[in-house]
Amino acid sequence: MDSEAIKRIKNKQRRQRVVSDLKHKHNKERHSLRKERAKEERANPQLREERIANNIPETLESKRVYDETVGAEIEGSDEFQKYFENPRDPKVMITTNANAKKQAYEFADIMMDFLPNSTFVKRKKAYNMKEMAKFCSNREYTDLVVINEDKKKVNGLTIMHLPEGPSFYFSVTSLVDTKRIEGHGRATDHIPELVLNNFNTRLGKTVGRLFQSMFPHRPEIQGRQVVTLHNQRDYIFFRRHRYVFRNEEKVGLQELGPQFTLKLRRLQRGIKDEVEWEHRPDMERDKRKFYL
Amino acid sequence: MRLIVTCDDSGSAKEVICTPGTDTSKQDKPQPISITQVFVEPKASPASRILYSTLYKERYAICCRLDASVSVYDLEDDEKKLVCHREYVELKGCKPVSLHVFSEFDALVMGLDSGKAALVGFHKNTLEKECQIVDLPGGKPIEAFEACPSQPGVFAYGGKENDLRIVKMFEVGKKVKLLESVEVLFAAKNVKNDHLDLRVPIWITKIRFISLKNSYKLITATRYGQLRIYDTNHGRKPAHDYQVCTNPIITLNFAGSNFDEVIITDNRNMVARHSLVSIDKKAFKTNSATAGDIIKPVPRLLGKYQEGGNTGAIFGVLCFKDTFVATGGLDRYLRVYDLETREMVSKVYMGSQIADILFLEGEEEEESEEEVDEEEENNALWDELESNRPAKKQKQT
Repeated sequence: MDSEAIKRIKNKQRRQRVVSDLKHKHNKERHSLRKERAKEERANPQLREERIANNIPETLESKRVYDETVGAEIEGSDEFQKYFENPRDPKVMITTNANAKKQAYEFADIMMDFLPNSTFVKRKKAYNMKEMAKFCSNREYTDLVVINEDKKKVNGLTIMHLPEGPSFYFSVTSLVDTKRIEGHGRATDHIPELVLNNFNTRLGKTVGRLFQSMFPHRPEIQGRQVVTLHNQRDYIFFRRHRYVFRNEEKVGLQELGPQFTLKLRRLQRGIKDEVEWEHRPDMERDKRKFYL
Repeated sequence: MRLIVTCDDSGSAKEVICTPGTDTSKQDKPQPISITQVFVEPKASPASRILYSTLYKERYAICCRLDASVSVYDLEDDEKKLVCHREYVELKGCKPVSLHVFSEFDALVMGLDSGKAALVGFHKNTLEKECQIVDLPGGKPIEAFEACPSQPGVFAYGGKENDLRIVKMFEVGKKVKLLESVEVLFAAKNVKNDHLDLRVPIWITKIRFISLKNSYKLITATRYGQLRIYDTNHGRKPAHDYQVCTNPIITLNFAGSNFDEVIITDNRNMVARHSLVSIDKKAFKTNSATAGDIIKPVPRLLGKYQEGGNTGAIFGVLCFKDTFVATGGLDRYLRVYDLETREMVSKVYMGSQIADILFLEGEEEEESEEEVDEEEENNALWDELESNRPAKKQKQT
């Protein structure tokens, strides 16, 4: 029975029954087909491999707009080069916006927990960002993080690499506190390992290098802690885990929290000077174009 | 077209040869014919990156670097060999704000951000060992320093809380020597207080001389998004004061060879062309509770160069052959636009942030035509092949 014929049934209850019967039939067919296929594949595992190899689903990532900067080598050197040439442990200052509420301090507490060698200083209204950056670079800090809270919600993160910049502004969403993660572990003071995923373009590499230079370059492996920054479709997911090798094949993961999502909004040269990259709403129009 | 583009990340420059239609962001478009790294000597590093470069006698490129050193390169040499490089001890810690070359006197003048100017002689392919330095009147840091094109020795400068001054720095003669005391020809006065009777701040970022007919006529751009036109016959205040954008203007260039249109770029991603002749008299309207309606004229916006998805601030703007404008900046792309239609002609990924662009020559057309022919032939061949395939044909219709 085709859809036109179903539409011609005037009694609603009968029409619904016919539709549900049709659906049921269709499902039955589908299940039996799968069952048959599974049986065949169990007998001949090569078929399964072939099917999986042939049916690659198309995703936004696989249909990504061509970007010549993906995979291109970084030319010359940037502001982070100094850190990689003679690694000095990063020293991070954390502060908040002026007139911050409780939530901002809580987030600062969370950040202190996962950022090694970080200090928190309460924000004073008298100093602006550029002045704070100057004070921090005088005291040999390598990064200044300013948490932005609005309407009792943490919504932004300014990270300035010192002394020469660049300055980043990320928006923060989907913050999940450790307490709300089921089965979470308790983090230790060890310096974590760092996993950076999918920072491919030239802009992405700059962002990746920022995170690389914020964590000391000598993870304490006995801590078995990993911080992951996973970039997917320009959203950067922050996760923290502890791993355990259960046997030679199996690895167990225990989440330590917190979880949050960052999105790059602005990248400026120097300490908040000229804009190098800025997010615009019309950048979202093409769903297959990614910038990181 | 053949262009030289400076690279901030490596402190060197790149020579780009490309045809109109080149686009590195699209795989099916023509790719640049060649990109070669040049100006690498003596030591290329971001700390000594090239800020400004100019052509000298159409044979040499003179570049001044961030550490206030000057390098001269021979453009006729295939490898763009270094001819001369000098670092000046006196200029340590200063950042150049502009570079002006006088080929008739074999000299170049640099403006320095500390409120000084330096004159260096350039004879027989060598830069003088000593440079002459002069303190500019005003004694404040400067951000713009511009030479008068028709009267050598006359310069204009300005900066943060340092209003426009026109000075005479040297007499025209066989041997160029700075005057013992710089002669101030014109000192500008700030505009009137605003409707709240507050002083309007000064922060000049770029200056251009318009023309010289018994008086100096100049245009300045400010960090507060204003364009101001000064006429020394008109009094010390600007003859016109226009608010064209809200962001700081960082470059100001004339569109083509006539002086009635300018191209400005701001510190975000805007590249706009404004007319200086057609003025919209009531374009800026606002209302104040005390002063009532405030209506101000605005120079007409003739369009923005937006194609190609620029994301960063533009530092290098260059109009050449009166038909093209090349832009380059922090997003590491060189883009060439048609000046009139504002369509993008070429886009090349440079891999490094760009501070300045030099135009060498544009006559590659014969070659490019041939290439296009070949391509057309190829396309025709493919079309033919495809037309033999029935399935494809159906899709096409």
